[in-house]
Amino acid sequence: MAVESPDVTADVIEASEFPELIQRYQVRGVPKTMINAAVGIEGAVPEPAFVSRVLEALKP
Amino acid sequence: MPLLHDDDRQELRKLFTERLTEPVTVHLYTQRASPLAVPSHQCQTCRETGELLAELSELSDQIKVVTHDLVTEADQARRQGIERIPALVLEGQGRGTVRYFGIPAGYEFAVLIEALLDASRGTTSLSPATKQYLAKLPKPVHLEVLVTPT
Repeated sequence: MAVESPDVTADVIEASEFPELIQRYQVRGVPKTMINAAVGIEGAVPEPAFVSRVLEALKP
Repeated sequence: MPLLHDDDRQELRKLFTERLTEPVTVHLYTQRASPLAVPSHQCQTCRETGELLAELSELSDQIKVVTHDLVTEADQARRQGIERIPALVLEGQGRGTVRYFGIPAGYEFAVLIEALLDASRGTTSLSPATKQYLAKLPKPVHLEVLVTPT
């Protein structure tokens, strides 16, 4: 998504090296994706579901 | 001893020749080796990440690695939003920002290779519907995917 859009920053984070993030985002399993540090997606989800979660998270 | 096996090297060289069509610069943020190392401030995987990238860049003329020091190049690090190391920022034809934090080992190594190919081409295999949504995002999106190396 970050390759396609200038508005997207995508980080892959090796969680065990940064335990403070595990705590901050309450990670209980991986992968866990945080959208704008606010909304979390647990596990791997299909592309359309992922996109709709992102759009949902952007709503005011 | 090299981190990549000979077999993997050959596979990767072939893959890069076929699919790494445009140059990609990988900015590696790390810490310089210091004689005054403080164990609690030691970056555990920085050296190995650097070695891995050096080996990758040997496999293709299209991969360039630029190494930055988090402390002495703090301004540049701030511009690229880097607060923790090791960090990689991929710079190719992609429009947004793709970064890696921590060593891309195990399964994540394959993810890095895919990201390099995507960054080189500037296109992805995302569906047309997804691309349409991405073209009209109402505000910036920061995705953080937390993974483990297994």
